[in-house]
Amino acid sequence: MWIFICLASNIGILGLFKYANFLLTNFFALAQRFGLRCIEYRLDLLLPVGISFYTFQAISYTIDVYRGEVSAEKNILKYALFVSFFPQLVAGPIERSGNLMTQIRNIESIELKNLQNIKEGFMLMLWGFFQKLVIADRISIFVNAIYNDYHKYGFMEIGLATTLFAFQIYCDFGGYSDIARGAARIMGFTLMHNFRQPYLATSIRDFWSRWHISLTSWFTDYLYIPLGGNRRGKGRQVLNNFIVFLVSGFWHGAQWNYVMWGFLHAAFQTFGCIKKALFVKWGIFQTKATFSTRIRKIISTFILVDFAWIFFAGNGLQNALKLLRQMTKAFMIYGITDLNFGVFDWTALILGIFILSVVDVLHEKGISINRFFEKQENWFRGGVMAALLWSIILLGVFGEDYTVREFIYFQF
Amino acid sequence: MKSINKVMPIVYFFLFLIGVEVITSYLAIDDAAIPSRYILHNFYNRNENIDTLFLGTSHTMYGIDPEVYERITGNKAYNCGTNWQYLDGSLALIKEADRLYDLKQVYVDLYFYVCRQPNRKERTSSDLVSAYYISDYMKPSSNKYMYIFSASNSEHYVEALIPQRRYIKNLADFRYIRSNLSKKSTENYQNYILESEYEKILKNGQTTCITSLENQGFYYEGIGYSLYDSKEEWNDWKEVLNEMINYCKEHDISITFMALPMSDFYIMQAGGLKYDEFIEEVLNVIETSGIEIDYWDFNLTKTRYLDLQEKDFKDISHLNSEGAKQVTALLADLEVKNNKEDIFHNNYQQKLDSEVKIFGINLMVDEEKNVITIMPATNADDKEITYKITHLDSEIKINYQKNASFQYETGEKYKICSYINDKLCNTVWYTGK
Repeated sequence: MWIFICLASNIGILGLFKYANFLLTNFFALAQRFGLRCIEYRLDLLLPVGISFYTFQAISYTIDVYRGEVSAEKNILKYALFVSFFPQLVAGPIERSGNLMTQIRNIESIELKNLQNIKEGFMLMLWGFFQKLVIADRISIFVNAIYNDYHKYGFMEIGLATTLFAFQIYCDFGGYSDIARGAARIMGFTLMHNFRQPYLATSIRDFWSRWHISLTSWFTDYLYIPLGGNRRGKGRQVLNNFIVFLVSGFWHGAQWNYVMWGFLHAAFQTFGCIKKALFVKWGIFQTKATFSTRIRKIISTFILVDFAWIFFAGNGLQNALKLLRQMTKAFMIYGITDLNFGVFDWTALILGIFILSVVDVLHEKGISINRFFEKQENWFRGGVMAALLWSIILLGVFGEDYTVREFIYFQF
Repeated sequence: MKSINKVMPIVYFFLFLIGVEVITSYLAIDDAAIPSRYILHNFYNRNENIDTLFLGTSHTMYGIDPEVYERITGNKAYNCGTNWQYLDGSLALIKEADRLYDLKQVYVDLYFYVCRQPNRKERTSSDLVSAYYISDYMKPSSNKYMYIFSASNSEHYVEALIPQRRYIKNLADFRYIRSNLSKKSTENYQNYILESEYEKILKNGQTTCITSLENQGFYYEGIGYSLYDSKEEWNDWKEVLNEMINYCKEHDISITFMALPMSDFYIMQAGGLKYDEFIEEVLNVIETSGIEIDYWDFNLTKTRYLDLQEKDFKDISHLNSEGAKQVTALLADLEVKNNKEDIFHNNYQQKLDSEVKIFGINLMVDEEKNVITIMPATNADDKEITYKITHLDSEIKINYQKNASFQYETGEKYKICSYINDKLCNTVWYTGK
């Protein structure tokens, strides 16, 4: 009984703020289609920042307590800190009670003046700001210019913008996660990793084990497995897969383009599973794990993920479809010289993406940057930190000349 | 040993920060032609005291000759006028001079257009260029940082604190870097000497200029600056003026406001009699402060004390070295003799009433049709005005009419004489574009 009250109140609040107007809009549109006349009504509500994140965190705690995986927290202040822990409050990672709540319960043992934690946290924050201000926000100048005037451009320009958008959203969201983890680290808390080199994934399934890990694991634990997961046959597995991705799309935003984005990922993953099963059955394309195979898989996965990003970035389903139509209509190069995106911006961007790629490849090879740094001489460690700080100050996209851009995931 | 090891990365971190700061600013910032680099360098590196400090815009830079002032008053003076200096910039420099020297007296020029300064919290990057002329070259001190934080809103702090961020895009241009490095490697740059054929910045801060409007005349292509559009534009300026008055009172510094002479043509263009409203605003601020402060507006000087001609002006709003000598001598005399009642007209209206003139002409040039329309800045009756335009040997004579115009040829030189009742009042030489 209490579990239902808890879940209903959490989901109810989320539904009211985030989905009520979406449902009303679609209801009235449907009613109009059937010739019903009604007075259209919308709720005039301000969406609380990060509501999707802390609602899911609160739900996970409730279910974990219900399942007996963690004990109920009797101290309301500690519970409040768990739900509203400021570094990750607005855009995750969506922490689980097993990790963050355990640390909060042992808050007395956290050493606040730990130099190692401060150094690691500071470095993580710098890296996060670098991703956000130097890479993501610089890309957004280009992407917004192309997407807002897409009818002026063709396949090459929109394609390039879409490719860059993949890096924009990664650096924007990944950057926020690193800043959150860094801020928490300085205070002695360890938050979970939310990204693990997502664009080095070799399949869509692999991608989702690397992208927004806290959300994926949340859906796996609290939706996919309770629905039966892959235990009730292939057909049910495919259905569960679609349900999870459609809900995930809907979680991102109350718009059809996000639902479409989720649908595409479900379809890609299902197709991948079917393809793999058939190929195993027929004994064809039994590829060995060579370097070239891995590269091919990484590229093909990236293309699929990037294609789906069009729906994520497209500002509504209609707009995303128009973008796609424009890409197929105009194959010529229209030129991208009038975008106020000069040699300096391209140089900074390419350099930024190169550094990001190197860091991701090193992580993929199991080389921890932190441990790597710890082994280096003092001048090198100090130098890299200073270089990172300077690159943010000098190359960062902020100030009057640029439009201030919020983190993309703040809207969720 | 262990604790040193822990601190060393932080030491290296700061060393690298400073290293990158020095290198990027050297490569990215091209300030070889920015006068305030030289003016503030000399300001900080004086061997003698500054008793009297002159502040203001380029009008002060060119219009005050500290040598003349020192000769007459015996006080040591420095001209710290910089391009387009907002009043809050002047205040920052007063504070800095007060910190470094035994400052006794300041003269602050109130140029009407700078008094339309955008509200400090609403300034844009382009509004702030002149503020950066000062803050970029102030030495680190609380005055510098207080100035930076008060001159704009937080959106601009990084650009103000780290100047190379404003120039950083230049680092993608190798030709720019090469040219910048070659400018910075000159002896003049390294020794803080800014000198061209016609202009030079002296050790006492003055920018000397030997060019004049002789054989050119008072004219302007197009329409000039306006005194104000709305009196609300003056609110922020008045606030700073009060801060300045209070600061000087608290620190026992004598302050005098002044307006260095511009050509009457320039004032007439900007609105003529509206200038009296500006004077009134200044006097109101002084009066409400409750402190006895002088306001010497040299635009109101009677001709018998100061008769500035074309030869005394660098352009229509700036004096050259000849003009600067005359005005500074008058200012120093005033300080010594304190006889201002006799020297100035009460207001601009009174000055205009004393003589009917054509102060200059606005030339509206239509380069497509090769037609020039003449618009006189005058207090004469329209019907009394005639022009004689001479080109080579040919002569065109036209009576004044609204939009009086004539056809010109590109590259040819024209002499435009303006008359009131056949008496020559103004001569302008113009080369057709």
